[in-house]
Amino acid sequence: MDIIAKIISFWVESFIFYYAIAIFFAYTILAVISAFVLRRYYLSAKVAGQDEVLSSPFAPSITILAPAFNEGLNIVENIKALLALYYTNFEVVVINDGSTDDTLLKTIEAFDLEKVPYVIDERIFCTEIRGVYKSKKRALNNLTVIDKVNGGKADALNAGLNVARGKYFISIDADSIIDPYALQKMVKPFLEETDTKVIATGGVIRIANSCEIQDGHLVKINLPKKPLPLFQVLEYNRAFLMGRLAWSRLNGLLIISGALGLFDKEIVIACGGYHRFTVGEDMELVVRMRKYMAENKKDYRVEYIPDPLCWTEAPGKLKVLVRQRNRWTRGTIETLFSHWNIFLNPKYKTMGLVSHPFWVLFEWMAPIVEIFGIVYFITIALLGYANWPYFFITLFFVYFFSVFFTSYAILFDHIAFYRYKKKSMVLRQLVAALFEPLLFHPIVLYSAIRGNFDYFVLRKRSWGNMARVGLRNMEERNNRPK
Amino acid sequence: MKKKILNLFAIFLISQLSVWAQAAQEPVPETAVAGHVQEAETTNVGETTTSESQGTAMSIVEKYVEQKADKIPHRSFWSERCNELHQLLLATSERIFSPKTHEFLAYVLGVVFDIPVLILLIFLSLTFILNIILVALFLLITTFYKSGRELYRKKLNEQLEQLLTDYLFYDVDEEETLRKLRKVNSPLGRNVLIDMLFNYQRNLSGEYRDRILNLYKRLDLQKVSEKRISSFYTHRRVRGIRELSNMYPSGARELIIKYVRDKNDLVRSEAQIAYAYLDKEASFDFLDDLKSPLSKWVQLNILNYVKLHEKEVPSFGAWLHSPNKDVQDFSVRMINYFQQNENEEQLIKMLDHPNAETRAYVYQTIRSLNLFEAKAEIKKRYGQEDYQNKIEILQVLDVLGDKSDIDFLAEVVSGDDVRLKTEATRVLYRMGEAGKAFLKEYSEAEDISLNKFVEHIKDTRN
Repeated sequence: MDIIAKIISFWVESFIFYYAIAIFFAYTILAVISAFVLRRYYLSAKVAGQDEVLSSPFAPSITILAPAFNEGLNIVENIKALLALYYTNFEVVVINDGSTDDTLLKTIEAFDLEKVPYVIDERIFCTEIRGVYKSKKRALNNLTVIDKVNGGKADALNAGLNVARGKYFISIDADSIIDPYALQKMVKPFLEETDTKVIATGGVIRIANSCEIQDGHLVKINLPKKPLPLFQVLEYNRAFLMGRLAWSRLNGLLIISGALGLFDKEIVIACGGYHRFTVGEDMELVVRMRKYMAENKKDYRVEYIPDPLCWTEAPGKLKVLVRQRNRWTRGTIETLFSHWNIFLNPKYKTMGLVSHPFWVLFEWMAPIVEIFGIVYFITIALLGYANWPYFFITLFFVYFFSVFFTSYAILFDHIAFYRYKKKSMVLRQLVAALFEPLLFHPIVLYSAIRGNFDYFVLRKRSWGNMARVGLRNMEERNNRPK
Repeated sequence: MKKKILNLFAIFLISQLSVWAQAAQEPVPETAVAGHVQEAETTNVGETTTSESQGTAMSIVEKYVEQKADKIPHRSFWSERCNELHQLLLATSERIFSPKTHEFLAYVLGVVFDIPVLILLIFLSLTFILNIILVALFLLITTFYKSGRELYRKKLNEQLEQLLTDYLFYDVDEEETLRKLRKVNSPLGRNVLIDMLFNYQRNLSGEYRDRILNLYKRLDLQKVSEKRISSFYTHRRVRGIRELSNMYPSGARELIIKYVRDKNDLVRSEAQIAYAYLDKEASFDFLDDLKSPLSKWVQLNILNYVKLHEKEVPSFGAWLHSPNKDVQDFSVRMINYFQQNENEEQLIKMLDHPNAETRAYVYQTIRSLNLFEAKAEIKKRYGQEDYQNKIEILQVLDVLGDKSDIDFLAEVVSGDDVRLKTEATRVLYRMGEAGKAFLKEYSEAEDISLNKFVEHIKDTRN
């Protein structure tokens, strides 16, 4: 019995130890690369001009696809904000995905819309389109509203793609706030491409909770007051500024957030559009686009702009957060496993040899290994085999690394973008970084494990409801006298 | 997937077998064997008979466990780090202190390092606290620095704006203005001043712009910009090129030409744009032997500049035969924008270009220039073209189409592709009576669904 216990403990503890070392090592490398990329971006941003594109007849056409499901609360303000973006050659396509509230009605009234005869060029399958609406006002000629039977976000985006006229399209969440300069900034990598084709660009997503919003525009940036959104500010900072930036530099970026991404429309259509039956359609699309380019032996890049170009509402309630993270986990699993032939396949270069294995080992497996480690430790502790001093050292080391990593993400953000200008805001972030591993991480871990359980055991594939307060409500709250 | 997992598992097993075999061959210290025998005796009480082979296997496992169990990496890792730290401190104390003090310190360290876990905890805590303090300090310093800089910039901007407005619009003496401006001599101040002069010259024209350029020159700011051009940093070089090309055009051309073919994308783009700016006659001679890429961004900027300054442009037909695909594309687009009909013949030849994107620009230009002569050629190419260019061809026919195209369009209308069918219907509908008559006849006799397409294209918003 003792021998078996020793063998098990040797193997399990060795595995966990080397796995942890590998994960620390990988994330540290990513952070270092990100620091260099961010520095380069920060310096070149000082001289980068993008206004030139505003008045140019050479500016490529862009379609903004904004799927909306029960967004009656914000829809009018959000469409107005989209129409006011600084760009010269763009159209807005709003897709009402079978809303059960007054989303369509409000839109029709606000923008003087009428149903037009329209033949849909169904290059990608989508559920039934009930009608296409255009405004009677000439000034709103670049607004199209599609009313369709509910089919999910991916299906709504596919419907939008069938109507889009732009060379490029940008997919956004209808309830997000887009920086007015977002289109100019995001289209620039496409214009700067030379030998390597740019197939997509992504931008940084920030948390808008507690920010002041007027008419769909962000007027004052505040740090979220509630702890859950505050922890997510740190988490987003880490993910966007210390992860995705490095992956973009390595040309191994596998995900462009569904809240903001600019894509080459023809390539997306050539790869079949958005996957309708996955909950992680944003990541799945990028992986499929990359696969398509690699299989057709074309050089390509997926670019990423570190500028905060999109502000979104983060879940403020525990239940909603758990549901969102559960969905993200299922989306990751679905994408990684449905494209398993990429794994360690040199044909797909960086994606096959680095990104996909990284995601499998450190994004999908990390929570599983973590929970396995916890269960293992509880077991040996109950059996009296626990080596407590080493346990505490290891625990402390992990905690230290986490805080260390987050504090540098705060620093990167502060130096490069200087969005949270008050000293109190900076300090609050630092204090939150101390508590995040203890209070927030367990929630994320639980959600990820639930996601795995739901996916593999319950075979759950659908989206959960994302009850939102609504940015307009936040606006009202901000404007409320104190 | 299963195959890959099985393969990985097989490789893992093979590697482990070799480790086990090695472990079995290694000599085992007697004490360890004795210990194992004792352990085996105590754990196997009551078992009187065990076969010899079982015993050998068991001893291999035991040996293996004995050798490995104490080397559980996270434990040995910390112990080794502790040992290293201990050795380092001892060596340092030996080097720094006298033998007596070193002896004492060695004793103290010996006592302390008897409890390595404590040392590690203290060490980690200190590193952790130090890191947090450092980051917090850095954050605070950055906040102070940035807010101070912002405030200074704002203040200086206000002062300089007042100064320049007075100089430009209220005839304040130039010498007096120069005297005041010379006081701004900090690096940040100079940056703000150059930025402001740059923005003024951009938004002004004629005499006012010349007066700003005069200030820039008399303040010797071109020397700052020249220094920037030869900087190691990309952003400084870009800035220098931009400043000189806009504010010191007489001296900038020679300085900038060498960067037109620079390896750095940003510097090259900026230099190409600048070179076009400085091209007084708008000769575009830098395109002649340009081998490096000319990105769409640069093309867009050059057009903007030409538009803004209403420059006379040369005929771009000369560069349609450039070996550089980007130069060809740019030329076709400029021919389109400036409606250079004289290049008609060469444009039609470009329809044989191997690159689909270039051909798409050619189709757009043919459409924009109303080149009827190209119609027969483009119709011939329809079958071989890719999907996007088929749409381009139909859009050309939207402008150039007439009765003679009905047979060609009828074939497209009878096809299955919705977009192509829509475009063909649009061409037929806009063609005039003959086209409309065809659509009516076709929808009644062949395909009633064509009416939906007619309704679609009748609404000009679609």
